[in-house]
Amino acid sequence: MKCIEARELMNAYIDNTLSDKELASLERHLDSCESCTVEFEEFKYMVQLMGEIELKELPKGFEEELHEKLILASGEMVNHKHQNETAKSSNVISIFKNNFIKKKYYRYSAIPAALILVIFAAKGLFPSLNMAKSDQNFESYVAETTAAAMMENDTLYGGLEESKMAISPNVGEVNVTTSFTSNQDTATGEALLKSAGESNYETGRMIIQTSSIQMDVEGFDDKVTQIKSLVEASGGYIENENASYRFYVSDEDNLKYGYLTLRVPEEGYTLITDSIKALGRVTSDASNATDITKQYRDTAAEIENLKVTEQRLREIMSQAVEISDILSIENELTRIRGNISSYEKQMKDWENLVSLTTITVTLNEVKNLKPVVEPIDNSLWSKAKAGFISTINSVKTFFENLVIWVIAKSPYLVSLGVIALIIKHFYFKRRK
Amino acid sequence: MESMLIEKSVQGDVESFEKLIVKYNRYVYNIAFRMMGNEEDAKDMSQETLIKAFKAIGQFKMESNFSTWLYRITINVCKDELRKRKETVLSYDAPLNEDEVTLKDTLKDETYNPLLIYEKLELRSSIENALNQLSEDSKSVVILKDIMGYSYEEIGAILEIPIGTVRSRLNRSRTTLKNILQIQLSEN
Repeated sequence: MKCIEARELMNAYIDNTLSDKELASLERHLDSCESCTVEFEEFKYMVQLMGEIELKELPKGFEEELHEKLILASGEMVNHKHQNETAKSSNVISIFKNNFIKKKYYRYSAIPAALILVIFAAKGLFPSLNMAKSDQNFESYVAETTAAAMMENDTLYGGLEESKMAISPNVGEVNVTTSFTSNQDTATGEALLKSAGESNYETGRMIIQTSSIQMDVEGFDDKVTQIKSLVEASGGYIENENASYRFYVSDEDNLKYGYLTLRVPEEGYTLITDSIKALGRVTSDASNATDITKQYRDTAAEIENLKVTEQRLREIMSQAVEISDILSIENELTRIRGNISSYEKQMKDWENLVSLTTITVTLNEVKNLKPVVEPIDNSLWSKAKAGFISTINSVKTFFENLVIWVIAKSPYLVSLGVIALIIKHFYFKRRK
Repeated sequence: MESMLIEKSVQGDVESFEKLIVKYNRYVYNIAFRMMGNEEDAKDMSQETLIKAFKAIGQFKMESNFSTWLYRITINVCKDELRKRKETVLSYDAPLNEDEVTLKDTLKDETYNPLLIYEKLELRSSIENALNQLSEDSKSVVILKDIMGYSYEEIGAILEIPIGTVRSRLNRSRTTLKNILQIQLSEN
């Protein structure tokens, strides 16, 4: 047996995993080879020493610390499960999609698509006719959806019905004092229900309401002033304002367009939008409500938890003696305070977003909301005359410019003429 | 008993999980301590291991040993952390930079068992130092075999490698360890 082979087997020998045959040949080698014996003894001693290394005790507070972390982890796991469930439901949708494609149902989907095309083509042919209609359609749609939303509120939060009733008189007062000019009677009732549902953060729903209105108006500046006074009366403010001329025709025909971003208190939302819509012809109207009730309450609960932890840390702090303990508790406290304040800020932001709804109004000035045949202007002849004069003037200017150009460029022209003469001279000479 | 605790832990019961791990805690901590080389990291890593195990216990299959599964996570968590830090470690493939010194050269005048002349304690602390310089794979084998005292089969199951590999890896790791040790001793 060679030394290399022996060294391969040494460790197995120490661990008692050699076969009898290997054992015998290794022992024979060790008897004869001194260096391998030293090597073997060294290995054996090293392994023996490592075997004598004692297990360390768990550090102080190990299990307590672990316990807290495990509780946290189990909380995370519950959240995770929820997410998984929602993911599963979206899987169902994708499975449905897959089947849809696999079974080649998409062939039949051509039929509705064609129908839609036909409808759109018809719309294209009679745009003015459809415009007026779509307004009505839209309004009825909005009415339906709000009704549906209210139904949902009633069924889900049936218990809140009483609190709504309790709040509504107050809100009613607020609305009356703001004294709106138009549509007040019809709009107030709706506003009451809506705002009462949203105003109580602890029990009601938290909804971020945004909407955008596009409309044609006559008299741009007047309407902007009216909108501004409406917003001020409701206690809101204008976040953004922008106005410019659409195109420059002549001094009389300036048409403007622009947009305003309004922030109004949620109680005044419906009133404001209705009043604005009454100012002109609405060409597009969209509103969006994001329900953040769940996130809001989760955050509130999180803050509660953190505050409890903070309280406990303070108790521990009062018992701590060693500097290192105090420092580490201090660290932990700072971290928790930071978390609490960031969550609180988030909640403030949400409250702000919920209490003030955002409305974007895009105004487009038109000459007349209803198309009319305009009478022939009295000043037609004077306009024609002005046009004729301006044409004459432009002809005059052209010739003036031509003369100026010729004189200004005469040095070039003279020298070019000389060169042309010389060339002509030589050309004729050669021909002769 | 254990399987009942596992089932409850799968449902997220913290207390059952704590009962389940109470007898393994110390081993997890010690493996982590030898892998990381200091108490601070050992505590962090062993806690991370146990939390990971708690979160992933649903994936644990009853046919294998719970302790084996737990130690595998421990080794992997420590390896990941060490890899992240990219500490300079000695691998058994790369040759040691120092000249090959054998104990025999340094201690000519002593007996054939020269290691014995050193204070046992001192030597043991040298071994602990030397261990920290091994690569993660080498370290894990030596820790499991020589410090924790597991059999080749158990180590194979924990590290998910065949027994032949355990054997050869242990062989090389011990040789590297002994070389490092010799260099350390000759430097003193």
